[in-house]
Amino acid sequence: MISDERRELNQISTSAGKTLLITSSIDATSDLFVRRAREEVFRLNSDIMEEYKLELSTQGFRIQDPIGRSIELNQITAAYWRKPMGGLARMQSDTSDAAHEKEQRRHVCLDLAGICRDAGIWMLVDPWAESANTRSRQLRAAASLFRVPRWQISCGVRVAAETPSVVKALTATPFHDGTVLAVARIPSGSNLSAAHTWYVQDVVDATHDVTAVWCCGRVFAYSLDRSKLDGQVDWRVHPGAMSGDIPWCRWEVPTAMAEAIRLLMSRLNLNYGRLDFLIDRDRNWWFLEVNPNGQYAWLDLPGNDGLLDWVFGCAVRQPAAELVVSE
Amino acid sequence: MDLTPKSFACDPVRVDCQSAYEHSSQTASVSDMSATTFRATQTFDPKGNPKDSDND
Repeated sequence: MISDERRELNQISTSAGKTLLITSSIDATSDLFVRRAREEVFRLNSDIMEEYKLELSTQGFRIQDPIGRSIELNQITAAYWRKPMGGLARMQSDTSDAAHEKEQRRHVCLDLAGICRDAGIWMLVDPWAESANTRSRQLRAAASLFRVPRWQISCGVRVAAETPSVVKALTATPFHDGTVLAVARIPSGSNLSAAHTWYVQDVVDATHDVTAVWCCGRVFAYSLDRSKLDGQVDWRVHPGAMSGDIPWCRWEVPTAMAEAIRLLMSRLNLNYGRLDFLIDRDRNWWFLEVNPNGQYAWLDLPGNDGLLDWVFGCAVRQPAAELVVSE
Repeated sequence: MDLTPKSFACDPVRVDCQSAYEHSSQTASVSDMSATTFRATQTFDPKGNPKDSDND
């Protein structure tokens, strides 16, 4: 549990106006953000949107929550896009009408973000960044900046694994039974069915996972010791890595890598992103992907590194150029 | 037998969350603010409904 002391760390203030937080009702990072921004933030939860009064028209929009708190376009100085679609996509759906309503709300969330963007309101996370920066676009953009494992995306093609390879998902959407496709090694000598879409990549013999949060010119990098993963390829399905028993530790970013990250994010036009790398025995950095709205709070929950302070601060106000530091 | 995506399926890490959302505090009072809460592959409310998605 997070101590009360941690929860009260560094309250942020927008001073000039309010931040519209577009999220879902179960988002712990949004909870932390609200605790710091206090009344300077208006939280709209896509999965319980029926509890709000929301009107959107040519003039803009007005939203009121059940206790009378309200916000209008002209009060907003920042909008923070915090995974509202995740909650929407997972809303309980027991009728076909519910599926229609979910899609309606998804469009409303995008409409709100679009109005904010057209009004010149600062948005740290671009809701359209993920669709604009598909996996192959990221990999192609990174190819001249980092080592990138050989990869292939295919459909209608029977894939034979001739070299040690892994399969990966292009989407986080689970299967119908709730299971997910984690990164997995392809058994040698096996073939992948031509009836499916595949994203296959060469195995990197890595000693560490490194994930680097890029936010408005600053990089916060952390590593996970892969020798503790019991041979598991994907740390996300290793209980120890998920629980925190195997810690992520701060990782120094060489100047050349920091500059490469800056260049990549510039090419992809991203203010924020969480980049995943593998580090081999020679300390080479292998680029895997950028998550344009990747989770980050778990990397510095105690607040020792200032990660949350920086990201939350950037969410409510674009940092002045003199505060942006390449580390 | 060729492999399909389901050949590589695994259960997501499960994180239980409280369902109550307090408009007054604008928080959901997530029951366990551990590191896992913030890196969950999927979260579930007390009724077992998946509520959140990825760690991306």
